This record gives sequence, structure tokens and C-alpha cells, in this order.
Amino acid sequence: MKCRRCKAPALIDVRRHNAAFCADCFVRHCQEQVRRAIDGFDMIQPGERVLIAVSGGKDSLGAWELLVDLGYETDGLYLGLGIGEYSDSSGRYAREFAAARGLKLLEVDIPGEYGFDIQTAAATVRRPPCGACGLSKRHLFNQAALEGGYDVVATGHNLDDEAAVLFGNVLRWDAEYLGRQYPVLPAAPGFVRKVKPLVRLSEREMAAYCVMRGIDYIVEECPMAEGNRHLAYKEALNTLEQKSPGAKANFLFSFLERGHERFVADAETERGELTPCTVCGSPTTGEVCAFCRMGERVRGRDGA
Amino acid sequence: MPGPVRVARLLETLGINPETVLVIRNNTLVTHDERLEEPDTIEIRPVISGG
Ligand code: SF4
Ligand SMILES: [Zn+2]
Ligand SMILES: [Zn+2]
Repeated sequence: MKCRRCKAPALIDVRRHNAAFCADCFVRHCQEQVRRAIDGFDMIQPGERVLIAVSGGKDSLGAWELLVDLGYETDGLYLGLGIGEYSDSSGRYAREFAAARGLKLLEVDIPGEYGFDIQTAAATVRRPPCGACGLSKRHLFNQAALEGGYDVVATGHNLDDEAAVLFGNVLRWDAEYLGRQYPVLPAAPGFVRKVKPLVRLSEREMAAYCVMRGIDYIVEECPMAEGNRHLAYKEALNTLEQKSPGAKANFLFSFLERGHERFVADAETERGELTPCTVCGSPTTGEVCAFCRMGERVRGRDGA
Repeated sequence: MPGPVRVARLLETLGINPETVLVIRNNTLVTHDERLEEPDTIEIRPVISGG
């Protein structure tokens, strides 16, 4: 195959775009997709400071590099989840990436600073590990962004992630979640804006981008991910994608263009009155926010 | 598997959905129409993560 743009030998084919690219043109293709996502959804304004959530995986490290390439002032935040070997090595990849490029990486170590790890917390509050993990991530990224004066938190969610989440939401016809699923969550009092600049790039494109740019990322999975529903949705969507290339992108973008707005009202009615958490100050519907409540229970303060 | 064999055919034989992997030959990515020969070192790298 030849590169669609310059006719040099191609290294990667992207069936959804019916195209193949050489290394240079593929990198440009990825940059253009991120540019289109940022501009199309009004994700980041020129001059704003961005905090990117980095896990050491291909998506977050690739996204960080793409944002920097596009000229955005972007620092990283790595969360130590306390998931054994996986946390040790994913942290190493994040630190090495930042050091090699002279980028600033903030770190929050959950066991060190809050006295619990994700597995113990999940068991204590009887939630799946990914639920406890997601709650902690949302809370701590937002808090770090507020404290550091960042305008926006970016995450490495790609097209496959978003399509899989949509698939799950549609299987349950979860109107509240459908109303909230969008590549930009606007800022609100106590919450910074959240954006997903990789929404136009597939998981395979992100892995290829990292290989071409020599980004060393953690290939192993978080051990908690195994067998989760998210992976089953991805598999189902990829089966469709193989038969009709573009199916995933079409599913997601048709929803964002024509479906999402129909559910916005459902998301809004679910939001109650918010007051500051008495422990950390984050807006919450209760007295103590869900993250602080989880921490208190794990540390055994309320005897749970 | 004895070569030569095209990438697309190799994945099909192994029952792997091409959307879920990268194929890397001697440290370089290859497209699905590429022909793999006997002494090549091939890595089939999964790209799907569950986070
Ligand atoms: S797989 Fe689950 S526990 Fe592991 S990092 Fe992702 S959300 Fe957290
Ligand atoms: Zn080219
Ligand atoms: Zn709190």
C-alpha cells in the first residue's frame, strides 16, 4: 500500500477512512483529528492551561504529546492507585515520558496520601474496583486542577472508549448518562471543564501513533480490567467494525450530532443542590462527598 | 506458521480481528497487504484496553 498523501510506502492502514499512511503523514493525520475535535467541540481556548490525566498507557501519553505538539501548555497528573506491580510500572512509564520531554508531571499517591488502595476501598464499600477507581480519579483530577489553577482537565478517552460507553448506556437506555455523555463537560462551580481530545481517534490509531513516535507505554492491562463489561462492549463493536468499517465512528458521532441533545434534560433533573464537602470542600449533594466518605470508611473511622 | 503469508491472511488464520491489533515486523509497523517472510520477527500487539 502507498501513503494516501505522499505515495511513500505506507506503514498503517485505517479502513474507516479507506486510507493508508506513511509515518510522517500518519502523525499529521492524528494531529488533524485532535485539532478537529478540540475546535469542533470548543474544548480548549488558546492560552488556557491544560492538566492531562496520565496512566502510563498509550492513550494518555499519546494525547499528552499531541496536545503539546499542537501548542497547548499541558502538564500531566499521575495517580498512584496502589494496584501492586501494575501501579509501579505504569508510574515508571509516565515519569520516563515526562522526563525525556522536559514536561511537568504532578503525582498523587492514593495509599500514601489517603491511606487506602483501590482494591481495599472497593471491597469496603462493596463496589466494583473500577467504580471506586473512577470515583477517585474524577475527584482527585478535579481537585488537582482547581488547586493548580488549570482551566481544563483532559483525558485520553479514545473513539473506542466512547463508543463502548455509549453502547452500554444504550443497552440500559440510561437517559441520565446519555445526557451527560459528551466530549466536553463544561465547568461548573467547584468543577473544572473536562475534555476528551482523542474522541476522533481509534484505539488502534493511538497505539500506532505511539509506536511511530517512539513513545514507550505500558502494554499490560490493569489487572482489574479483566473481564469487565466495557471490554465486552468493545469486542462487540469491533466485530461490527470488521464487517463494516466506520461503524463505531458512525454510532458515536451520529449520537453526538443528533441523539445527545434529546437526553440533556434527563441529566439536568438528576442534579440536586450542591454544598461544599465538610472534609475537602468539593461540591456534593451530601454533607461529605463520596470520595471522602469512601476514605473514611476504609480507614475505619465510622467503624464500617 | 511457514511464510510467506500476507498480514491479513495471517490474522484471519489466527482468528484475530485486525481492528484489535498492530502487526509489527522487525520493529516497524506493516499494513495488512504486506507479505511476511520466513526469517521476519513478527509481533502482534493487542491495542484494546479495558480502563
Ligand atoms: S481497570 Fe478499573 S481499576 Fe484499573 S485503572 Fe481502569 S478503572 Fe481503575
Ligand atoms: Zn505520506
Ligand atoms: Zn470530600
